[in-house]
Amino acid sequence: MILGFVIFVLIVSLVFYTIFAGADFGAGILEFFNPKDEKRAHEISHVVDKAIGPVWEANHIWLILAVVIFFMGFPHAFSPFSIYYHVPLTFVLLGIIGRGTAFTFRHYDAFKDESQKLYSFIFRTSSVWTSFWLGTIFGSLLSGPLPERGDFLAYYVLPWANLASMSMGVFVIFLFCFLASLFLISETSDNELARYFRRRSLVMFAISVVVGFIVLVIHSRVPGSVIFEFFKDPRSIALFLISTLLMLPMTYFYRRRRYMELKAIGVTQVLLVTAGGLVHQFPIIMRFESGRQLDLFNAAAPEATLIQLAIALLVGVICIFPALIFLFKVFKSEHFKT
Amino acid sequence: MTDLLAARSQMALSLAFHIIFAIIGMVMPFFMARAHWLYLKTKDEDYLKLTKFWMRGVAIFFATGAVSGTALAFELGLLWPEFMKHAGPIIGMPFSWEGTAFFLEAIFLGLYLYGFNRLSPYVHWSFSIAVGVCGMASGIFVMAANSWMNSPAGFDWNGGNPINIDPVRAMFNDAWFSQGQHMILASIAAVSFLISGLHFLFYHRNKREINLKALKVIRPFLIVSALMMPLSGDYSAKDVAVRQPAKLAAMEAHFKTEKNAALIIGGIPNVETQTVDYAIKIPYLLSFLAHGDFHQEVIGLEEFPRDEWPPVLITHIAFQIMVALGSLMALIAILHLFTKRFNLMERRWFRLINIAALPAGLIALEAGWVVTEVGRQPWIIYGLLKTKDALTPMPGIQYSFALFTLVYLSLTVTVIWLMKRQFKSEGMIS
Repeated sequence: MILGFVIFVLIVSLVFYTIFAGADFGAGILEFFNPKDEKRAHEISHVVDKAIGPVWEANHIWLILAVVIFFMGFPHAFSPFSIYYHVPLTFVLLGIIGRGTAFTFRHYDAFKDESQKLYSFIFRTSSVWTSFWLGTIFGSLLSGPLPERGDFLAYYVLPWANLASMSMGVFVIFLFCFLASLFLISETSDNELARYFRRRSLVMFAISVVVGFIVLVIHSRVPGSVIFEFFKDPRSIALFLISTLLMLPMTYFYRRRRYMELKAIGVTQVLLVTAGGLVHQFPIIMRFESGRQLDLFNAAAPEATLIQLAIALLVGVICIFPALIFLFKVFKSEHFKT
Repeated sequence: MTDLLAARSQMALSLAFHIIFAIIGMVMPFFMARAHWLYLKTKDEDYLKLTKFWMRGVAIFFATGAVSGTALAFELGLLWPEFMKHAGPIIGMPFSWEGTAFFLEAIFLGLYLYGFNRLSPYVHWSFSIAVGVCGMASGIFVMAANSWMNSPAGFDWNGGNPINIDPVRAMFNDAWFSQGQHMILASIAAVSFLISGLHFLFYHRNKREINLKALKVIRPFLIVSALMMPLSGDYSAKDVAVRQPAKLAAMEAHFKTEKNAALIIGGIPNVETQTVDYAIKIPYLLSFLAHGDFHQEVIGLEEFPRDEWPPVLITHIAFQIMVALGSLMALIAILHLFTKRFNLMERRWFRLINIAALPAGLIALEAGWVVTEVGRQPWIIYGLLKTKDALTPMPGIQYSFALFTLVYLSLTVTVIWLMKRQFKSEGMIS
């Protein structure tokens, strides 16, 4: 029961990280697709600045929370995970460092001169870079099993340096862009800019669907890939179907400019896609060549630890949620208007 | 460079970098709170200007602290997965509390930095205090985790497969209070000297009154923390003498177990000959400081197997630097008590002393961390797990170290450059 609660919070924090940090990353990635017009581009950066400014640090803490739950609650998986994925995790870390600092420096530099270009470049590039590597790690966990014999390449490179993993990385980039453009629609009072983000959300949605489909095809050709099993599992099929059906109301809300509903469905779509990938994998974290598996149950810490973790999480939830809701209310009340 | 040395160096660099930014985040919210309060009470615009001036710097330092903190969280797994395998379930608790505190801190900071015109004045102000409190809590929790490494508790080692885990006992281990209090006071002292040093510099150059007000805000923090530090350090050292005698012996370059042990000031320890060259030795004083009794026996390094000696040279010299600077800061703090009486702000020598003391707290802080971390070697969990056995099996850590050194170097240069630009834009420097 305690373990169930901890798993629940772990999943919730990963979900929240996907949505909030995803939108956060996506905003940075979107800037890559800025129009050529400098004035327009500058306005978009300003909207992004205002939108993310108060909330970006809070958005990214879900990852720290997930990491802490991981090493405290599931240490037998955390250790091998940190070893096998040392390289892509290092890449993710570099991206997080570059992104956070570039964004803050861009906003707080006392002089807004040529250095702004450098900040923007680092901010945008690291938004893409970090999203890509997070997706790659995710794709790797879902595809082929991890080796238990071999050399440096076999252990530390091949598990993630393959098409199956990296195509997931690309998918995540566009998924985050989609999320971000949805949220940014309501972050501006300028109608033209709102229309710009609205168009972007459509484009990004379309690209995400296409890339997602390609990812499925690639994974279906990888023996041992979880997604290979995807279509044999009625739950995955159900999720996939619901997600497809939701495109109908999505189109309706898009045309009617009912942005609150559009956002709700957009977020649901993202969650369905993530759930679809994970539902068959759950509760497995890592799979090995020999057939050995590390899952949320056999990798769990002893009960005394889980109890303390559950208490800390419960207190955290009680303290953090009201504060977080207050933060969003103060700065994002526009999102709750229709 | 071996993988072990590269990993230790990378971790050390990450910690040394992060801590500067973390302490700014812990202490400056309280400075801002006081300045902001003075504005709300006196309506003196200078105090509002001061608050906003500090806010900009805090935002930059906070973001850099947050990402370097993320780096450390990752590096626990990337560099020391064997340590995390054993320690994760035992000492995860303070980390989860730290995560909660930091999450709240980030939320309150967002509300404070961006909420000037969106919240009622006193509600808005209260968030500055909230940020500070959460920051301090965060620091204390992290210290509890580090204390556990020095004073392991709350489990039976069982030859490397810990059982009977009691996370609460682990968190409230024998060292958490002494380490925690020392670090909190050290952060306040270090940041006080840093920021007031800056404002002394500005006042020296531009004679603007806003700097006098800044110093007025900081002064009580500076005086109280700097004067308490020698007491705090004494408490901490007495604690270490009991719990980690090898560390104390290395710190004090104390090779032979003896009663009436002499205090060694300065000097260069020679591990081969087990002597300390060029030192000043004060008889009986080490016994007294370590145990409160001039005749009490102080354990020397000779009691420990040679391969369990911490690096004596580094630990001793770092310790001497820390104590020297801490003492200096306490003396300067005494001077500060008489600022108004003797109008010291107008005395050139007083300003110059404080400008010179600008980095003193930071250097002392880093030196202190060298003492406690290097002094714990070769252990990562004192007496139980050696650092070399906690290392990741992945080879090539030298490249990782080189990469992150580059990153931290770039960030350091950038942050200094940003601060200079900020000072220029406010007319604090030309």
